[in-house]
Amino acid sequence: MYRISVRKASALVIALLLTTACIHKTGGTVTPWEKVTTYNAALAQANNTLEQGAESVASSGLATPAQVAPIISVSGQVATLHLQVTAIIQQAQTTTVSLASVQALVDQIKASIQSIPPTSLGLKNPKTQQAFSQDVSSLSTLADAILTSLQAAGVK
Amino acid sequence: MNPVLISEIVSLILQLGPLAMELFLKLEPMLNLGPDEKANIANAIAAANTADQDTLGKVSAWMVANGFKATFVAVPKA
Repeated sequence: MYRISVRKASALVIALLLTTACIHKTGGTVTPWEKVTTYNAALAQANNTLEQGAESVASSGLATPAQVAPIISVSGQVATLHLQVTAIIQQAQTTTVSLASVQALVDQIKASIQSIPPTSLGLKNPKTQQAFSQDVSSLSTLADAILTSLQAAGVK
Repeated sequence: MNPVLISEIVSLILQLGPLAMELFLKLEPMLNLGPDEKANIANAIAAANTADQDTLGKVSAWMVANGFKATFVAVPKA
């Protein structure tokens, strides 16, 4: 049940965010920096929801605390790294920042997400493990969207 | 918004239940921006920081409550 939720939650995030038409602005065009900060906020929110979902799974008895602990821990790692990404994006409003500094943090976020063992929720079925890998890939795609939008905003 | 996209989102919300609804309700306002660019950017940055701080608080509380050590050491770049 949880693995399905994570996969479809990821799909929901991607469906919402990776379609340019879904960001609306009253009385104007969405600027590149508005896109950057929106993607950035969405990643934080999706990570927050992932953590909540993992807690729910444990509290409902669908998995043991030991099984969900790796996911909750990674969620904490992602939040820690992402706070630094947001700080850089905030600095970029007034000073010049390098894309490489964000790239390094995004790479660490992706490495953290990919470090979740496929068997952490008892996923022994290869097809289910593959589906879980796709979930991870979806979250990584969202992280990449921040980088892509930063480049579009002129950050080098 | 694209009708097909709306249909897909509604379908996903129905299948996911409360968790997806909560995520959708949090994301939806983020996707509807006001006319002031600076305000939009400031709001999005504040939202990101609030969500991350909330996540860290929940993670720490859960780890401690369940007897785990709450460490958030970043995984080194591969």
